[in-house]
Amino acid sequence: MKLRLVVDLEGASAYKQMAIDEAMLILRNDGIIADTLRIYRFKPSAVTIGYFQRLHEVVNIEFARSHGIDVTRRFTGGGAVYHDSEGELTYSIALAIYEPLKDIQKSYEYICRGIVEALNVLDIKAEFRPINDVVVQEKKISGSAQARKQRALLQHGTLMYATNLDILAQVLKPPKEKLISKHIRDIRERITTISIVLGRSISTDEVLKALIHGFRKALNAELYEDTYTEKELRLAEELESKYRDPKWINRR
Amino acid sequence: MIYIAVKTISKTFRIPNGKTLTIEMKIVNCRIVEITLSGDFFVYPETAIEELENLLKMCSSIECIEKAIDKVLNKATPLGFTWNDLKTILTSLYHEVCGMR
Repeated sequence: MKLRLVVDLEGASAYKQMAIDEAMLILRNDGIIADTLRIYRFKPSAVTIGYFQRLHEVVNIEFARSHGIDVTRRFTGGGAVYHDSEGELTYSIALAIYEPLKDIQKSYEYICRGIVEALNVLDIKAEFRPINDVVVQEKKISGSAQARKQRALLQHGTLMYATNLDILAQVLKPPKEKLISKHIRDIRERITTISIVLGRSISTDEVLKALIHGFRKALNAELYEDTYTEKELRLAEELESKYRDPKWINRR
Repeated sequence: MIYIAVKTISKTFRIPNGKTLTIEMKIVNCRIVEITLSGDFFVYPETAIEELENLLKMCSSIECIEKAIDKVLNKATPLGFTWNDLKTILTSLYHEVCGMR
């Protein structure tokens, strides 16, 4: 398959990043853009919550506010995520729904193979853990979420390479039922980063290259670099206000 | 004097090998008047949950709850729980408050 690649490491707010992802899904569904892999980061650091989550139950709002951490709601389900501007890269991939992607659970695994392969490039043995995680040494290093329309899907997810886990543990409030089910007391016991696994620091560029290689291999894709189209930017600009709107953020 | 029984329930469930599901319900005289399903689960399409919440509102029996879920189960796919999980949870919560109706 041919896969358009957009790398955007300059960083932008969570509101803009979510708007671009939603724009990609809409435009891929309408056949206006090609199958696309986008790799980006959040600036400033941000928390995104899942479509069905209640903000006050999963985010320490005061902590986020006092630390300049943006908060918004995604258009995808799943859990709350802390996106460290200096320690995490995010991928989003918009694809037409063809055979291997028709089954929803299988499509998560199919796409997450890109992350598994990226980690393999860095000599890290990783595995997909249903429903939507990639784990290393039984700890989560990447989580993904997917939204679908009739003809296309968009999956986005994290790859933590140097995420500040102390900030993550303070800004996210995992339900106690979740911690109990995983037999842990603190969220930090359940997650890891590339730097922790490797025992050394790793550059953003190294992680970026691994991600590109990982998705190329996993999807057997021929990648070509591109920039945002006018239509993507225009639609994202229209959608951005939704992600800033307290009504959207607090809608459940 | 008219006696009005109002009960608000909020319970969180961790589905085995699945996700977290929180049910918040306000029941007045054994009629569901408000209900929100929240959590870190997925449903495709997402709008099915709002449709289900609307169907569940005004339910005053276990049969009505089951029928509401039956109406959406062929139209939407959950990940992180099953429609049967949800049926069991909702009917047992309702049963706790109102008994078998």
